[in-house]
Amino acid sequence: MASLIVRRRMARVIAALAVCALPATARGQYPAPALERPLAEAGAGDLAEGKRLYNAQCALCHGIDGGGGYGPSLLRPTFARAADDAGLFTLVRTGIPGVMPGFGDANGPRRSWQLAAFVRSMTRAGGATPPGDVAHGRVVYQARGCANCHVLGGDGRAFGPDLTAIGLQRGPAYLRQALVEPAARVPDGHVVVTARAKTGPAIRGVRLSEDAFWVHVRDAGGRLHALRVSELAEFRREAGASLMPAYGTLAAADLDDLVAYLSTLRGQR
Amino acid sequence: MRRLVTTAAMVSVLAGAGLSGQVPYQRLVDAAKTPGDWLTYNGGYFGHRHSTLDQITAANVSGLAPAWIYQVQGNGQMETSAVVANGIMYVTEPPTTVTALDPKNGRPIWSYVRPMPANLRLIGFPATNRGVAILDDKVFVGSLDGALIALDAQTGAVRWETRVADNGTGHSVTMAPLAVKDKVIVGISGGEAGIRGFVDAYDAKTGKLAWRTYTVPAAGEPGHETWAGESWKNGAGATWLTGSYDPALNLLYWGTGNPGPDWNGDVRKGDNLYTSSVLALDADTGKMTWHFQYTPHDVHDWDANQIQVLADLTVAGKPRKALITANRNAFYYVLDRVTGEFLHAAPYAKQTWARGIDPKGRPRVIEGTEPTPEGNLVYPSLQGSTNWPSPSYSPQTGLFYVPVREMGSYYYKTDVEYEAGQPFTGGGERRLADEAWGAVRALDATTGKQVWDFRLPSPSWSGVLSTAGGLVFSGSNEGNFYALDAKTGAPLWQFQVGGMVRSNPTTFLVDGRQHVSVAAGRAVFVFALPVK
Repeated sequence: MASLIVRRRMARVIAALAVCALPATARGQYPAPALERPLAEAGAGDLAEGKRLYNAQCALCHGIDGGGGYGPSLLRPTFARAADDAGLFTLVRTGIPGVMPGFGDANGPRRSWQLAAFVRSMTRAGGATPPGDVAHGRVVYQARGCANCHVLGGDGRAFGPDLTAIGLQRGPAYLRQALVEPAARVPDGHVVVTARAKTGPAIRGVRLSEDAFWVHVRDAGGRLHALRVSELAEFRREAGASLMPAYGTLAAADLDDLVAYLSTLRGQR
Repeated sequence: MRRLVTTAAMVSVLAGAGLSGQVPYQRLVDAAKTPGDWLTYNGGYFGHRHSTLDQITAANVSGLAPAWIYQVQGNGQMETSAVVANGIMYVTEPPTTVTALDPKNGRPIWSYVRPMPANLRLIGFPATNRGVAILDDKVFVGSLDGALIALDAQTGAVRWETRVADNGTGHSVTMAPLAVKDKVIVGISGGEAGIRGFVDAYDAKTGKLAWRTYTVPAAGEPGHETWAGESWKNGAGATWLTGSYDPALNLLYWGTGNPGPDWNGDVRKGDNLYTSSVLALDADTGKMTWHFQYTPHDVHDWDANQIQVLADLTVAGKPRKALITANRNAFYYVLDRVTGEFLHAAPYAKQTWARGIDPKGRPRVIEGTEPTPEGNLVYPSLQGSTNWPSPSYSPQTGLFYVPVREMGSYYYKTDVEYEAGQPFTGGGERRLADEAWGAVRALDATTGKQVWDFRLPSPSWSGVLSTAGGLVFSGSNEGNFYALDAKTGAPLWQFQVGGMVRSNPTTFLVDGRQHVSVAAGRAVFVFALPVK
């Protein structure tokens, strides 16, 4: 009974915290501004100022390159707490109560927008619409068998990342490099490992999970291997390796078309 | 009102089990004599995090199983170290909540929940709290908004509350206070916000400030000359972890943090005393008896707040009252804790910044290892070769068990100007996370030489507990909580808790049976051997 009352009290406090958090945006010296321009419209000057602010206010926890530290990595295609540009703009201003400080008071709306634009640019470098024939890019996608490893709109084999909304998540420069030189752009959760048990053949594949006692690997054939660390003779994380074939041999026009096509993928199923 | 009545009824039942509500100072001095309780952050004033309990052993640990799990609510990280006294377990939860649990079954007895202001400033650390101190009939907790609160140990009622420092300028209390004699000793966080660090002592009965010792000397004070210009004013030297205490010498040993700004040393030329140091302070007056600076003019954020462990060792054939610590800068140090004399240092993890430590204890810094605008690769990373999670020292094995972080970083330097309540860091890092790894490493406590190594997939954030049962307990970022053979490091038992282990294990008796606790994810886990 006591615990129930304690729980109720805690729930009330948590609710009160949540309520307190809402006026935080309206509390300061600035009105809560709406996002008036898409972050992709930021110019070089805006991004430079955003980078300066990032280094001063964000790099401590998120790493100077956005790769993480105390805080999570920002080099991910989507943010759990900022679904879109407006969400990211709000997040850098208000922070997350009890988790992340907000800098809206110090920065004001313009600099907050520049900061949000810089954060967005870290994952989506090269925001301009790429050249290329979108319809033909789709043909290349199908002809080259991309669906053998990638899901798009619910179809395909789920070995590599889902591409359904890749055009929102990654910029054309990233996509081009990921096609030509996949090992340079290994996404989170796709680290390649080689494991060899004391008895048995070597297994090479994507590491699904690893702790001090167990490793789970999915090989290129899609088979799941659960391996006991104590029974491994060898275990290697292959830094900078990818199981995706490099598509540098594509004709230049085909590559342009494929990048253009991928850039149009915005999550429609 | 109903809550009060119910709480009182439960307390009377617990008290009826023959338990007194008092933890007098002498019990803290003699903590090792009552291993059934866990009375201070590290289990005793010497900071050993070692227990003489020996019911759980290498032979039976494979049967260890969860006794109960307590789940918390709210945001932030669980970094609490459970204190157990007189049949009550005290844990803290983010942001600043203290919960008293019945260690028999994990049921809450009372909870103190401190509401946080909407504009709470956390600059350089997560929303967390590492635990309480207990003395007489009160438990003490520091708050993220910069206060120290005394609670009735039986009911959770607020007995007094005092302001330690202003959170608007980036001050917070995240550490577990240390109760000594009639005082509560508190350190401060804010080393990334350009604060001026200090150690405070408050009267345990009233909350009145008894003394304050700043870690950065003002004009006219010794050491002031080690700061260029006015840089001392924002010189940091935060004191964000619990210190140790030697009752016979009446000295507190407190680690201090990085100088501010962290990575741009150009604006604070000089050694920057007393940052990245250990201070020996008179517990009655706060007067500094001696100091030792591990990393003069630190430019990598290598705080020296790690636990300063007090051990009586024979060093070079001579018995010494020693102070031993694994520093964030990758070196293991042995000092004389009476005089502060440097005795020995040795690297215990990969480092690329120093050629070694000279006979006076000063590092021989390698040229060109400071942060640059383009980034400069140095080992260890800015979180250091170890960090706040406690090591353990076992007088039984003579080994020092340290959670290790093997990682390098590109260090960057940027321009920076102090602005109150804003980050004051002057740079950052790009971590080499892909090739990083971690370990629990056993070092010979006298020489710092590695005896064994238990490898982890990533740099550790879990403290270590050793027991007279010949075991070492620790955790991993991947959710393993495990027991190793204290002599060999061989893994003997593990349990997957399903969340990151980012806390310090403790051990105690419940109804005469040994239990082990650890916080992980958003829960507190307590393990015991099955009842026969």
